[in-house]
Amino acid sequence: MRRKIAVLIPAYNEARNIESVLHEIFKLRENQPDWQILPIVINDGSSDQTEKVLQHATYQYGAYAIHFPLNLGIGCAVRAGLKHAASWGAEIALQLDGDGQHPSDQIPILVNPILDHHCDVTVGSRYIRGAGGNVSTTARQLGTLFFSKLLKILVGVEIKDTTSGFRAFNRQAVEYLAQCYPDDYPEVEAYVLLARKQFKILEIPVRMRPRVRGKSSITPVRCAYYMIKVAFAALISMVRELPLRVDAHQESEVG
Amino acid sequence: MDNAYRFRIEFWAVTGCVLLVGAIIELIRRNQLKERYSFLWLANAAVLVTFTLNRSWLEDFARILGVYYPPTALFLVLVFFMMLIQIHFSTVISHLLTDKQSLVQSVAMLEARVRDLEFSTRDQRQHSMRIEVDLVKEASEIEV
Repeated sequence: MRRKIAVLIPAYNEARNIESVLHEIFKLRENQPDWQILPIVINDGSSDQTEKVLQHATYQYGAYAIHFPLNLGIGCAVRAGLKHAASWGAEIALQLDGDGQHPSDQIPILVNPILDHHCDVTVGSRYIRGAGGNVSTTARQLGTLFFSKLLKILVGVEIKDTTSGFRAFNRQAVEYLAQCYPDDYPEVEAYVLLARKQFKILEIPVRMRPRVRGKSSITPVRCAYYMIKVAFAALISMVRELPLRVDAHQESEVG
Repeated sequence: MDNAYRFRIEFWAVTGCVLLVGAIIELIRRNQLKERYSFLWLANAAVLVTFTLNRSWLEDFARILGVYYPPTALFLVLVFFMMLIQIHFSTVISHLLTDKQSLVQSVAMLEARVRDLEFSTRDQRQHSMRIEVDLVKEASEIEV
């Protein structure tokens, strides 16, 4: 039986990049005949031609598109993708940026450890031995280092690339995060929520590319605000009420 | 006597701030309040506690504002933060109103498209039925 892999692609004003991202995933299907891959693009209220591009591209590449009439942020976009992946019955949901920074040929590197039951969640990292390609700006690197230390202190999890948007989740993690994935700048907070329910997270070196076209929405001022807000949210997440984790293998509730 | 009053003021001011912070954090913990809407409340509590515990800072602040009785400056700080919070929520409500309008427009356009699809499906079905009736008539005329 083919393994169902959902590829979640949150996209905001990515009209110039999204088609090439879908084309790469389409090519990946040829190399992975025992995977049933469903790209799920979440158009987060884009003001450019992203919706128009997707009308054609979803048919051409067999993708599923969710269009938000308003911009709700990456957290809401990913959560909508996780909900659809769960309802589709995905064994694994992989998150990938819509700007072309994450090469699709790296997807098996993140997916295979989960399929082999080595872990529940994998994180594609630019900052560990064996990684290559694009390294982010100094401000972002400092922020990432700060969050890495914070995560280690709060939940004892060592993740160097805390802001990586290239991650894969197993079915239990998908169903859990579909209920509680955070709204604003959610990457770091999500790790706290996962760690509190004893999900095993593995960081894996991957190769990333510079942004193909367009401009990143992360500026230095936003970076500073992001650091304060995320640190506060991560602290609150330590005591936040969380949904139960249902482990299919054990058929019991955890946490 | 003055010290006793001063201690009581400081005690109740700090207690009030601690209770406020506790309430805000509990609301966030229970997902009843988003973090982004709590910052001003927490900043308010932090400033009040700072001025309460650092009397000299409060006196300097009061002197700058031209306030004769320093604890009154605390009320000014409180009023200032309340105004900030009101303005903040006014902008939030304005954004929500704009979003609501966009959503209503989207829903109305979707409903119009669904109605068009239903009408065109019904028209096609009626058209198909008319063709069938015509064919049956022709066939029966030929037989005769």
